[in-house]
Amino acid sequence: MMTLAVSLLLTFSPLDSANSTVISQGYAPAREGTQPLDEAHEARVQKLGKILRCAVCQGVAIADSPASMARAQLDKVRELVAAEKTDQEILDYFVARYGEWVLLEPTRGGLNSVLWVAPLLIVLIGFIVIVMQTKRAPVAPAAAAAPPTTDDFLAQVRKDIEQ
Amino acid sequence: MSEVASRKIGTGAAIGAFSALSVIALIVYIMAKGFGTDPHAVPFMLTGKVAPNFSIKRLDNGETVTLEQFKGKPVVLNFWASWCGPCKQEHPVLEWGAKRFKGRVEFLGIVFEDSEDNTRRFLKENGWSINQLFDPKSTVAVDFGVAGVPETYFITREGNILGKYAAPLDQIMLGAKVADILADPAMTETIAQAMKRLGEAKLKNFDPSTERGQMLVKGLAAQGMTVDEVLATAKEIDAEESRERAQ
Repeated sequence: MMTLAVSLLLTFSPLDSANSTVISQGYAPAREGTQPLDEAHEARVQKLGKILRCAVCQGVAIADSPASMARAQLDKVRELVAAEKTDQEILDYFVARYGEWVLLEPTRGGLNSVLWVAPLLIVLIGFIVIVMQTKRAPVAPAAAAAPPTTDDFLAQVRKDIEQ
Repeated sequence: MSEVASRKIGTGAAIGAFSALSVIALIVYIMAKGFGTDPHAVPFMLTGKVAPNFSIKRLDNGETVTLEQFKGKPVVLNFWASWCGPCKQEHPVLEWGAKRFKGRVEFLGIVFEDSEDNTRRFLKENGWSINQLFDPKSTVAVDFGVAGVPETYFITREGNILGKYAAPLDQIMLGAKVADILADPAMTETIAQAMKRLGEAKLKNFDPSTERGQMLVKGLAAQGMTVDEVLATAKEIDAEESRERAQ
């Protein structure tokens, strides 16, 4: 048992168990999704499907992905729409499981506000600096005062120039 | 230059420097956050939350199974598929776990995006000692925030998700995770004693204060090892790693 344990431990590499990285190989057999709802409800399903990220794809919306997981997620949206849940409730359901990562359009609240406010703030600060610099009175160049010297020759030259 | 003019220049320069520093700090923060995150990693938000209940059928007899019926017993819930290579690699580990912790921990498999025929064939060839449940529309998978297979969820007696492991399990990792949900007093005591003695031993490559060290000790204790056996194995690993580093 000890030898087995040692060989297992030497290959041990702890992974971040809180986050998933897709490591699946192979393909799931093709399967049909749930039947579409009536026109109005299905329009909501597709609208929500465009802003929810497929859990196993690379930045693709569940409405646009052919992956079986995306179809399962879209089926869940359909189920929640059929249960008359609001758009926010449906988005909250997915955020509660996958975090804000699942939203293809980040929300405007919280830390995300920085993304919206920072560019405006930078422009504003730049404008204030420019205004302050242009308002500054032009500074006359100070007359260069001749440094005192002990050199007799240099003192004589200066005296001659002044005359 | 007048005192007023030089003061104005000083204020302007200070604002300019502050603005530049703010922009640099923002860029550094965004880059540090971006580079420190795996863009392919899917966050998991259900740690510590109540595990979503389900009601799906067993693959062998069609009986309906709910998660609630196991309340009071720790549960290891594994999402897998016969078409997934790492799941095949992991399968014997789960079979071992189900036998090792029989009666104390409930092992359940949930078949993800697969056909019943393929699943049955796989299980007949590779062992079928765990209750396998069929999730025909992947509703349970989405409820649990699954983002690929294999994924294994560790659920406490109270029905809370202690965490998930999104990779194929080995015996040590499975043992360590089961030790956490099982919280068996004898095993907990073995782990505590082994941690203490390993801390005193000050091995070069085996630090029980790190996450890796703790996982290893828990994993070894869950194999059924005594404190002395855990220590001896840890020393063997330490020596082996030293030899590997020297090469």
